[in-house]
Amino acid sequence: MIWSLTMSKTKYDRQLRIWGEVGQAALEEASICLLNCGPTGSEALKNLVLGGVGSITIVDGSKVELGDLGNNFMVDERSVGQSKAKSTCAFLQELNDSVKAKFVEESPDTLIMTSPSFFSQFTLVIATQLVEDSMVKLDRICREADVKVVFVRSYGLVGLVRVSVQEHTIIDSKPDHFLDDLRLNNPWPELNSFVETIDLNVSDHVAHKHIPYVVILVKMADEWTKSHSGNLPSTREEKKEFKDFVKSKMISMDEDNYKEAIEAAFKVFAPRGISSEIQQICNDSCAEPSSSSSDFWVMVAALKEFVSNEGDGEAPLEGSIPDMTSSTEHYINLQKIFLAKAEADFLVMEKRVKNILKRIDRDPSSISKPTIKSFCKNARKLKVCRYRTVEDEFSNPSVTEIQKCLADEDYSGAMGFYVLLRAVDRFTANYNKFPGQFDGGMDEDISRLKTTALSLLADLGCNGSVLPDDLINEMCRFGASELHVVAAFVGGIASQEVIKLVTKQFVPMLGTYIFNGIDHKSQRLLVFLKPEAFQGAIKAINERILSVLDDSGSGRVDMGMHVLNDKRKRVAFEALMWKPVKEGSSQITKTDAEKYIKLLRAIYMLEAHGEEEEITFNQFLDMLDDPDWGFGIMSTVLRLESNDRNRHGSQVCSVCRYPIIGSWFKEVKARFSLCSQCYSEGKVPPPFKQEEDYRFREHGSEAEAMKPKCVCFSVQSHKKPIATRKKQRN
Amino acid sequence: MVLMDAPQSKSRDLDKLLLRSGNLVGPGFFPGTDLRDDIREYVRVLVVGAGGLGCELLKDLALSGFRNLDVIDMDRIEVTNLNRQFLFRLEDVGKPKAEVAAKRVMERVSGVEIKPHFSRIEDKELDFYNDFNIIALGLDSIEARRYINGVACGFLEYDEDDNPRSETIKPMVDGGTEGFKGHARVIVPGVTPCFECTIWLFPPQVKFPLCTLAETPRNAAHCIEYAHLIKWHEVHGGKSFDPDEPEHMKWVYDEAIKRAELFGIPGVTYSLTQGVVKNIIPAIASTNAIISAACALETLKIVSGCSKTLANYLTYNGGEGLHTKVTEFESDKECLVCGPGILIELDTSITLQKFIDMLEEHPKLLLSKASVKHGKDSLYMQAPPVLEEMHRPNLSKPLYDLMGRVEKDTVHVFGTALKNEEKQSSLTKLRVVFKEVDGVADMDTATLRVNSKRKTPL
Repeated sequence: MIWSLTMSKTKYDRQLRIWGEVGQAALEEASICLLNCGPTGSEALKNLVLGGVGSITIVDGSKVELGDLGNNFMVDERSVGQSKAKSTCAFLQELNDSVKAKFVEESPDTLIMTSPSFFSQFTLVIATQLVEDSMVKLDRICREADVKVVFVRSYGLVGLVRVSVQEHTIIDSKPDHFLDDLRLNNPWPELNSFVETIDLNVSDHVAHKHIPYVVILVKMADEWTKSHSGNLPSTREEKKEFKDFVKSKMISMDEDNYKEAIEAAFKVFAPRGISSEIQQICNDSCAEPSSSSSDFWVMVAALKEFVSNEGDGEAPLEGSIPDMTSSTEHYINLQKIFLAKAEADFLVMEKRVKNILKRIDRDPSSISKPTIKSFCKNARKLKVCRYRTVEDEFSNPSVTEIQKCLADEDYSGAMGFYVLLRAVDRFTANYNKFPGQFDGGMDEDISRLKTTALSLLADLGCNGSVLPDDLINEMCRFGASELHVVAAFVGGIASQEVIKLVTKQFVPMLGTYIFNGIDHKSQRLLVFLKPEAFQGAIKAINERILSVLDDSGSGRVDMGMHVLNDKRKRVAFEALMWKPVKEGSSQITKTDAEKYIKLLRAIYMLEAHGEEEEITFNQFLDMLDDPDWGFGIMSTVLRLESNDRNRHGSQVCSVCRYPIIGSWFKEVKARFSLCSQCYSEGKVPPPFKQEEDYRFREHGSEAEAMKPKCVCFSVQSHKKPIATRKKQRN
Repeated sequence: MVLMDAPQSKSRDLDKLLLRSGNLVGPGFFPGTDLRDDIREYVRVLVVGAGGLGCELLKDLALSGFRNLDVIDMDRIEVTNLNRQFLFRLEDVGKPKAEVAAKRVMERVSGVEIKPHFSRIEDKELDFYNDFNIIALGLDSIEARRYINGVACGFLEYDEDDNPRSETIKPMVDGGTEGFKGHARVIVPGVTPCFECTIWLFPPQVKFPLCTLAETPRNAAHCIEYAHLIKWHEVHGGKSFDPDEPEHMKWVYDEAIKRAELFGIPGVTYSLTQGVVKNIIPAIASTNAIISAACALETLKIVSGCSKTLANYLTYNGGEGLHTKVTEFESDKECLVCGPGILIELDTSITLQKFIDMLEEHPKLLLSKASVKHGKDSLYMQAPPVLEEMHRPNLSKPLYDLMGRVEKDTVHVFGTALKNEEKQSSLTKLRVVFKEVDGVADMDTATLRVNSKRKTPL
């Protein structure tokens, strides 16, 4: 019977709806090693066992003590005095008998020292509660063996999660929000000829209100460009004009297709071609394929060729279209046209992949059709994550970043605890116990921890920095306790990261996550990232800076992103590069740099000066940082921005989560608010669906919006809810 | 600092937090063994829901020093629960969730007492909820959250100056998850926004226009909803559709397939049919673990003051990277549920029947079939029939007399309210003030006055 699913399919139904059968298969093939099975480790593993991970191996050399019963659900009265690894393993096995569960009674620290080859058998190691020395060693071993590592630590009310892997490439990154690939401003011939068969001026009202918005917008974008010397609407005024133009074609107020067209008009304004993020992946040195290239990079090489040949600047078409008001016939035809183009693009890509494989002496069919197909469908969503080694992070810290974080209101707690988590390990090395681990001698431990932390900061090169006494006191109070709830929280995060790494879906976290259970102002410290990791953020900031440069009157002066100094400078530089003054050049004109800095200064009430010559990125950095030149203003910018956030704090954009400055768009039913930037990009906050029909009211300012208004909507009787559905209990 | 317990204690780790003084703590934190023992002995926590979040919450609370727990859930265990509800095994399928969850946690954590309630939350007396110091919500329906929120806020009393009386505050912690995302929040009625103050945080449900289903279906979901909402009634008449009945689901699936073939629409699968019809929210173990842990930690902090409290809404998104954010929402002083209540001025002569009729016309209430409760006394009940009959004689009596001839007091009214064109159960608080009692007569008799500056968008 078709509808009778297998038991395992039913059991995993709720997660199969997230990562699908491909993701589940990857999970079932994964072999996971856990180091230390206190609550942090056993909770992390529990979530994976429930989800049906292939096999687990628990490494722990300790025996269950009475104290363990108070924080670990996987041990009970009967297991006191027994091997902790064995007891935990037995309980975890009970949760899911399709998981192969093993244990090794050995201290992880010893195993790391004596049997480095032990780790190469695993897909991934979850390393919990390791001190710094063991972390560094394990990381080195696993890098060499190409085994992924997730480090997790619970310490009193704080915790840490850090992913470590040389390179993690993702095809199916499943972003929350992504612009549909509709090519409204760049239609291919078949789409054009379909659009031409439909007459917008059809006299039949029923037919008129069932023309899909894709058709309406392709036609109108074409008409617009013809009358605007080949250009699409770009300024705010033009965009509004375009929307009015679409509106003018409505023949009655109940035409949902036209309302959708107006709402989706921003898709016409979206830039053509691939994003800067995908461009960056194509420019990566790995995109020059060699016999050792991974499948991912072989396909990127093919993508690169595709974009500059058949794609004419675009990636392969995604092939799917969102639901929209339409007659069934038009919609199905449109769907077929998009699918056919996606299929044609796929065939071209497949051919290119095969040729590249041949070129690098690999079996031309070694990358499967479904993989290439998935790559094509997700070509605009590719992600590459690279992580520093733990050793590099510890021994070559970015001094300025540590100092800035310690001085920043939002980051000082997280950075303080980051430093203290390293300091307690030093403390242990010196005193053979954690500060506050035993009762008594608390004051001595506090002063010793303080001394240890300050000397650590000095060793890192942060001589002037201090840590708040409150944090040091709390750290001693915690006394290396492993609280169950903190363990469950950070262990839970670790298991999410494992799932993302193993299924190669979604995007794993970058940087070091510091959990702050005191006020939940946890942070990911982005400090330790390579610039590539910033692709997404860079793009977003680029756009914002450009909106300032464009004098578009968006009213938005803050750059509103928590990105730290070096990156921000890089961003500013790239924003100027992106401005199509000198295409293909890796330099920007000094005039542009001046202009940018003038803008910054104008924004923050400073002034500028300069002359005409070309500068490199490094020179630009120097300019920004050189106080004599007057360009050492980045820290001021950061400070002023945080003030900005405080000043404008009351209305927050539901998408970018930054205070709304200038125009405020409020959705009339769902009542979420958007800033003009996110509004113009057509974003909606999670978990709203982009395709939904939203109605926004624009408010000039907050004060105006607070005025009570009597709103009358046009009656849409057919939109009346037809059923009340209760959510399924989980 | 002198610590009483030997290092080998079951509360080895928790003691560090509860027995030691700290700098970053709540205002009423008195560390010591008394605090730890009081939490064990006197604090009662109710866990609402024994599903993905509820199972985790019970475990987390049991390992956070709480020993007196209750859990309420009306559902029975299903196979699809097993990928995350770790207290259940295959052989438990069909048994009540609350009972199995309570048993499993008690088996593993000695000393903890968990009382299961296999029941609908609406079937419990209001007093049942008042017995707990704090309520932890592990629910996934907005309706259930609204109900519990209404009950908890119903206990809240305000003083003359509209400040909440602290002894009447019933704090709640609430969690919710979907896929890799979730939220955890702390609700201290009268102090932080209640569920109703921020109801707009929840998105509207996806609904399809009827004409799309009937005339222009475009995707698989349209075909499925056609079979589920239109075709089922055409063919089966009065027989109601039961999503848990496999034969019903299979019928809808077959009909959806037929319709999809008719229009050339791809993509109807059995799994999608279930997803659309049951409005299934994807769920995984790790997210539930994270959110529940945050809720349990906040429960411990509210009860003990051992650290600062979450102010007041934590969002978690682990899909694209990892983002956590704390937002401090503000409460709506005019909130119908947690605010000081709707002030209603009445003549002392108004009968209970007249009062109930007025509720139906009140623009902010639109409450029909109202039952009225004054403190612990029911003044009128619409159901069950036995109780209705018992209270019927009250209808003709003046409300003033029924309320003990006091100048002003709070009453709770429960009935069916019309909200967003939908009928919903609603529990609302009214502050009734009788005119002329204090000598100030108001000529404008028999009208309900609303103490509100804000207009209601309808």
